[in-house]
This record gives sequence, structure tokens and C-alpha cells, in this order.
Amino acid sequence: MGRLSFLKLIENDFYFQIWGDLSMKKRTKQLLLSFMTMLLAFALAACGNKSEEGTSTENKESKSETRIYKGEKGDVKVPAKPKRVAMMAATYAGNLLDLGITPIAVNEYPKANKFYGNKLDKAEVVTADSYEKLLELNPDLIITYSDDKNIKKYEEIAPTATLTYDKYDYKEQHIEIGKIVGKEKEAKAWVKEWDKKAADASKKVKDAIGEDKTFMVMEAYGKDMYVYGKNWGRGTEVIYQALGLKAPKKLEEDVFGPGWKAISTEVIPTYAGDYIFVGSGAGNPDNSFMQSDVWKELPAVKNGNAIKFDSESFYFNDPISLEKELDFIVKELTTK
Amino acid sequence: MFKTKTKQIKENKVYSRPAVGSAILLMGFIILIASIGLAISVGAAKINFLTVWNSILNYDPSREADRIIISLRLPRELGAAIVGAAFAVSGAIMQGMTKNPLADPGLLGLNAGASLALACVFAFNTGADYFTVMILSFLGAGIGAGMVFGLGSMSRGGLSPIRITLAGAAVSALLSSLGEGIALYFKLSQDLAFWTAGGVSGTNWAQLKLIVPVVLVGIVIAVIFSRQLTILSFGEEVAKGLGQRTILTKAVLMTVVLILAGAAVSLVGAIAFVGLMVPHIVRFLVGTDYRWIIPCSAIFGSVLMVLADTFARTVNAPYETPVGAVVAMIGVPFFLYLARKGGRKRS
Amino acid sequence: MMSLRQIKRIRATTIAAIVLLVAVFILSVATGFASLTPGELFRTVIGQGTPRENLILFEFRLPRIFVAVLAGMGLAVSGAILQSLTKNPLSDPGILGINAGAGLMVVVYIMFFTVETSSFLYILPLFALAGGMATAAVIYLMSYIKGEGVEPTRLVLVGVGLAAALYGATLTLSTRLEMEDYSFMANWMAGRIWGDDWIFVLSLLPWILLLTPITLLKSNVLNTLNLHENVSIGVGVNVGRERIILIMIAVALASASVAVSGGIGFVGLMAPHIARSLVGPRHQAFLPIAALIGAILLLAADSIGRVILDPSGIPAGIIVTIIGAPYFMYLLAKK
Repeated sequence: MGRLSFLKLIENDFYFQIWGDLSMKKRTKQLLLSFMTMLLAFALAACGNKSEEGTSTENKESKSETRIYKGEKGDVKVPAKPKRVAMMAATYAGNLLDLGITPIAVNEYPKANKFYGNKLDKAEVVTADSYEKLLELNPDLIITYSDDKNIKKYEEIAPTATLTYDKYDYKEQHIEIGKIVGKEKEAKAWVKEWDKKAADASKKVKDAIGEDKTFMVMEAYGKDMYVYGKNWGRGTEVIYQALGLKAPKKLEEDVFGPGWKAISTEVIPTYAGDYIFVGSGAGNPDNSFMQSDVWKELPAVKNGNAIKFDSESFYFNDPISLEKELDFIVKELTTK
Repeated sequence: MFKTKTKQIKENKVYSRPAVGSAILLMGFIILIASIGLAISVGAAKINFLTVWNSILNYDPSREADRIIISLRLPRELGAAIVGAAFAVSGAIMQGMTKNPLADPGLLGLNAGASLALACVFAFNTGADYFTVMILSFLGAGIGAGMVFGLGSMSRGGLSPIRITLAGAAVSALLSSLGEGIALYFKLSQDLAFWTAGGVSGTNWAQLKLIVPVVLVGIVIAVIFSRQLTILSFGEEVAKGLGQRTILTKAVLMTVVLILAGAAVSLVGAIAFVGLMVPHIVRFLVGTDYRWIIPCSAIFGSVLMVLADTFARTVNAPYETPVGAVVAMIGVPFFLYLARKGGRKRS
Repeated sequence: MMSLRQIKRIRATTIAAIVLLVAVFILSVATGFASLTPGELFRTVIGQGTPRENLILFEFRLPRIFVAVLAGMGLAVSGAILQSLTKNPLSDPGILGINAGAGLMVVVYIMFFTVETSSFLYILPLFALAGGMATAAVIYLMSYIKGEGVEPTRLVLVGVGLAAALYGATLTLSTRLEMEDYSFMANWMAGRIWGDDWIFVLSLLPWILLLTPITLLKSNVLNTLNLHENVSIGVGVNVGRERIILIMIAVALASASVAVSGGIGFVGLMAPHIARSLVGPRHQAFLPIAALIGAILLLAADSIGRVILDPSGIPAGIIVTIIGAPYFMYLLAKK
């Protein structure tokens, strides 16, 4: 008697035929035994490893000079002058670059930022769960968000400093990173210089377009529209904070609080300002709303004041990206 | 010959309610028109009924209300209606052919194929416009269905319903995993989710010009073949006994399913629940004769989608709720009721 | 009648599956981005490794490997039970809404609870577990009718309906997530092995260790339930009670697995099918093999994702399907 074919099984509508006698106790017991033995072996192996694990780590860094960083979750012993920094948080890579440190590892988002040029070419891409690769890269400091799932694993590889993203504005965040890598002075210097640069730019822009023009920053994702508040990347820090430009009243009321808002195409006119910055690129083929009369008849669009920006680069709010964003925005607003 | 035919049909207890059916068709049509009217007048921006009529009759692009109605809402609601009809009819055909109460177009690998195509477009050709995307996802749907049929008919036994179902599950799993893999690799999964969840928003006239004729032709063919489908739903043996050329019938019906579901998926993404649910509800109302089930499903599907989309636009305006989610939420209680009721009747 | 040839075949297949699992296990332990030569590996296993080697083997690789093995087994056995009970070849743990319910709870957690690292890691699987089990319970109650009990066809219908609604809700919520949260969510749903710490191995182990043998002991009940209901009653099986017990086992196995492994579906569908095609439909024979195949599939998939495709990080759930589906298709086309 051959084996019951797969198909037979199906065509019988799963009323399986049962072969031979139903009680094959001996065989069952044998199979059961072997199966349980196997599981037991696993269990033992697991327990055995558990007991050994305690002795495994610790003596990682000890030779080079260290310093204490007072972090959000207590003190972290970090190298005085970290050389091999792994940046596992997506948005902070540019802060490191600006402080003159090229991270040895970043995750995949900053690689797409065109503002960094070839500065990150040497940095390895390390995704969230490939801590083995991180270990191989032998970092002396790891920086990540405080909600990273793998912090415990990172801590076994190297000293790990964590930051909560929305606890700092874009200037504070730069200074904080400066503190972590021992370059607080440089970070503060940048903030000072930036404030001066921004004030100049603000004056220049206001001279060119007038005091009370309003601005909107939006992006289309698939079939949805997003409007952004004053601290959500995409150039919003530059427009609303650094340049001190205004948002339409309705936008300020609805969006500045939550930081961003998903809206329907229909209400773009309600939130539209005299100028509209609209994100493009980033695998986003849908711009059908730009073909609709609702878009075409917007005053900003009619006057040629709808300005496209590159979503993947404008996503960031680190010094390098901010300066390029500032240059771009000032140029767009003053050369018309 | 004729006697045996009627006898056999009687044995299989085809029961239909022509009166209910005609009433549903008529009422349904009126309700459809009314709900489209209603749908156009409500939304994130408020517009009253009179303005709607006015702007449809004489469009003035300088008025904001007119622009919203003509370039955003009208195409959107027409899109919803046509997509609802297409999903519902293709679901009805699938259920009739496979005699599987859970059959829906998704099981033919259409949705998975479309989403794989979409993932590829997003990953490799970011410059594609909306229209290209639509065509490519239609092709993807076709490839998915082609694989299912190819696999299903590879063996000597031919296309048995259970085999199609299994092949469909395997192909869908494979294609959607590939799509998901590509999306995750290229960091596109949210874009894709937005696309498929977005439903009919963003529908424009150019797309409708392409989709509407295709869907209408599909529905007409489905209605013409509905009698054959009723016979087929008794089982293949019976259908053959009654002199039906089952292979031809099945080929035609499957093509119709592909056209309808492919067109609908390419426009709005996978909103599978319409195709699953509407035929059940309609069968409950008008009986098991597909001559009534198919047209009633079309109307019912349209109304459901238009209302669901209106709800999706208004429930949390100006933020759009994915219409697929709304359809599922509306449909599930009804579906559960049917499942319980059906179960009771059977035993 | 069980022929000698069949017995031999079953024995050979079981041994082959065990050997294959051990081979995949060893390969998976030995490979990874960080290099660990066979010599170093051996040294580490017997407790003579350097801190770095211990870290790689005991902290990074082994926990994840064990989670994959155990979750694969749990899902496969759960799928096998469900397929037999519902007499539906397409049943898998997803049909009881476990993946959908767990997914919804994960999104809810990400959206509405402050993410505290220390607790987050361990609370998320608990949320997923609760979501999966609650959904299964609701589906069961909804398909229960007084006097009739739970009829399998109705269970499947209700399950599919409710799962669709839950997926709808999940989708609605998840399009509102920030980009990185969404990417996390998408990875979870696609089945990236989430628990990669010993605590997850230990939390999954009792379920598998307890419930798999019980299922095996119930092989005969499953065999009979698979026949027509009247036959089962005739043979003296308390259909209603056995069914409830078996469904509870299936739900527990799948929920526990999904909670630590992420939304992996295809293993539960495919492993039982493959096992049945190898040794026939007797549960005594195919259940252990289904469990082994489940473990092999998931472990191989996760290792491929971890070793070969790094740094892309394609989740195990996706790789399992890409490897498994063609084989499944081949089985379909062969006859």
C-alpha cells in the first residue's frame, strides 16, 4: 500500500482516510519519547547557558581615559575622546558630523540624506537587530534613542548614551550630543553662530518678501496629505523658528500643538499660506492632487510660490542639514 | 431533456425571489444616486445640496466649492461606486464557482500580485505617475491570477475549486511576501500602506475614463453568464449533466473576475471585504439564483462603498480614515450575524 | 492497515527531520556577521571562551535560535490541530484571529503607551499574547450557539470576518504612526523575531514542552474528529469537550509563539501540509514531523535573514514564505 498522496487528501475534502488500526500505541510512545528527549535537550542546553552567562562580559574598556556623562538614566562612563562612535539613532548622524566625528556605524536613514554628500561613505549601515555587526565594528561609544529595544545588548558591546528625541529642541539636542562626545564647546559655538546667521537671513528674507507673509510646509504620502508644525523637520525649524516666519492662523492653531496633522486634499486651501513648501521624492509617485483644480487655483501656486523640496534630505534637523535647508529656503525666497 | 433539467434544478433547490430582487434593483439605484448626491455635499469642506447641483450643471473653476466638487468629490464618488460594484460582482462569481463561502477575489492572487507590482514601482521607478502605477498594478494582478490558474491546472485533475483555493493561498502568500520584503528593504512599507489604505481618495477623471468602461463591460458579461453560473453552482457534475460546457463557462467567468477585480484593485488597493460580504448579504435577500444575485450585488456593492467612503471622509474630518477599515467595521457585525444564522440553518 | 513500508517511511522521515534540524541548528550557531571559527565555537561551548565569544554565542545567537525553533514548533502544531478540527486545508493560527489580535494590540501599545525601554521589551509580548488570546476567545464565543456548540465551519467564517475587522483597525491606526514606529510595526507584522533574549526562550519553553506532548497524546482523538462527526461520536469521543480542549491548546501554542516571534503565519499553514504529504494523515506520525518541519523552516528563515541578507534585515516571516511557498506549490502541482 503506498502512502496517501497529498492530493487525495485535498480531494477528500479533508475527511482523511485513516489507515489500519487506530491504536498504534507502541509507535506513538516511541515517537513521543524521541520528541520529548529532543525538547529536553534543548531545555537543558538553555538552562546550562543561562548559568554561564554571568561570567561572560564586563572587561571591555579599561585602558583608555574615561569621563562621566550625566545621562537621562544616570551616569554613563564614556571615553574622554571617543574615536569610534556608532550612531544608532536616525536623526543625529549630522550632529556628529558637524562636531567633526564621522560615525563608524549609522542606520539606513541618514545614508539617504543628500546634504551629507560623501561624508557618510565610510560609515557602515547597521540595522536595528544586527548587533553582531556592531560588535565586529568595535565601537567605543554607542548613541541611540532612549526607546531603542536593544539598549541592553548595546551596553554589553560598548558604553551606550541614550537621548529622548522630543525632550530637546534642535539646538538643545546638538549641545547634548556635544556633551556626550566631549565637544560641548564646539556645539555651543555652532548654536551661537547659527543664531547670528539666522538673524541675518531673516532680515534678508523679510526685506525681499515683506513682513507678514504666511508659510505652510506639507508632504504627500501615498494618497494622504501631511501638514507640519514648527518643530517637525522638513525645514520647519528653519522657517518658523530660525527665520521667524509666520504660519496661517488656522495652521498655527491646529498643527503647532500636535506637531503634524494628516489632512484631506479638500482642505489644503484652508491651511495654505502665501508660500507652500511641498515635499517630493522618497518613493512617492502620487502627485495627482497637483493636477486637480483645487491645487492649481491656490494663490500660492498661481503666483509660483509653491516650492518643492527633497523629502529624504529635509527630514533631518541637524546642523549640516539645517544650514543647507536655510540656504535653499533663503535662495528660493529671495531670488524671485 | 427539458423535464430532467427542471427536475434537477428543483432537486438542487434554487430558490429566488424575483419580487424582492426587482425591488432591490430599483430601490438600490435610487439609493445609489441619493447617496452619491449626499456624499458630494458632505466632507471636510462643507457644501450644500443646491451648490452641488449648480456646479455639476455649470462648472465655474473660479469658485472654490465648484473646484472641490468637480475635481475632487465627483470623480471620487463615481470611483467608489464603480469599485464597489466590481468587487461585489467578482466576489459573487467566485463564491458561485468555487462553492466556497469564503471565496473572494483576493484568493486568486490578484491583491497580492497588485501589491507586489506596486512595491516594485515604488522601489525601482520613483518617477512613475499615478496612471502608470495603476496600469502596472493591473498587470500585477493579472500575473498573480495567471500563476494561480497555471498552478491549479498543471495536474491532470484540472481546476477543482479546492485546488484553486490552495494554489491561491500559496501564490498570494508568496507574492505578498515578496512585495512586503521589497517594501521593507527599500523602506517603503508606509508609502505602500498609505496607498492601499487610501482607497478612492485622489481618483481623477483620467483614471475613471479608463476604469469605468472596463468594469461596465465586465458586469454586463457577468449578467449574461449568470444563468450558467447558477447551474455551475450546483456542482460541476450537475452542470455537465445539464449539457453545460463547463470549461468554457469557467474560463469566461474567471476572465470576468480578473478584469473586474484587477481594475478595482488597481484603483483603490485591496478592499477584499466587499467582495466577501456583499454576495452573502444579497443571497440572503434574493435567494440563490445568480441572475438576481449578480445585478443586486453590483448595486449593493456600489452603495456600500459610496457610504463607506463618505463615512471615511467625514467621521474624523479633515483627516481621512482608510476606507477598507470602514468597510470592515460596517461589514463585520452583519457578517457575524449571517455566519451564526447560516450555521443554525445548516444543522 | 499500516504496512511495514509505511512504518519504515515514517521512521526514516522522523530521523531525517531531526538530523536536518540539528544540522540547521549547528549551521546557524556557527555563522553570523561576527566571525567565530569552529575551534573558537567549541571552546566557547565547553565554557572556555573569551568574553567576546561568550557574548556572541550565548547572548546574541543562541537565544534567538531557540526562540525560532520553539515558535516554529508551536505554530506548526497549532496549525495542524486547527486544520484537522476545522477540516479546512487553509486553516492556520491566523484563522482564529491570533495574528490580527496580537497585531492590533502591538499598534495600540506603540500609539498610546509611553515607551519605557526597560519594560517595553517585555510588556509588548504580553500585550500581543493578551490580544491573541482575547481575539480567539471572542471568536469562539461568537460562533457558539446554545444547544449546538461550536460548529467548525461557523468558527472559520466568524474568524475570517473578525480578523478582517481587526486588520482594518490595525491599518487605520498604523498609517498614523511616525515613520520609524511604522517601520517597527511593519517588521513586527511581517514576522521579525522579536524576542532575542533568554527570558523569551524561558517564557515560551513551558508552553511548548507541555502542550506538544498533550497534543500528541490526543492523536487518536484528532484522527477520529477528522472523520465525520457521527463516526467520532460512534467511536465514543466526546466531540464537544475534546474540540474545546484542542482549540484551547492551539490558541495557547500560537499566541505564545506569536507573542515572542512576531506575526508569522505561513509556518502554521505549511508545516502540517508538508508533513502530511511525507508520512500521511495519521496524527501520531505527522504531528512530530510537522513540529520538526516548523522548527526547521523558521530557524532556517531567521538564519538566512540574520546571516546572508544582513544588513537588509528581512524578517523571518517573509523569508519563510518565500522559501516555503514554492515548495508548497510544487507539492500542489506534482499530482
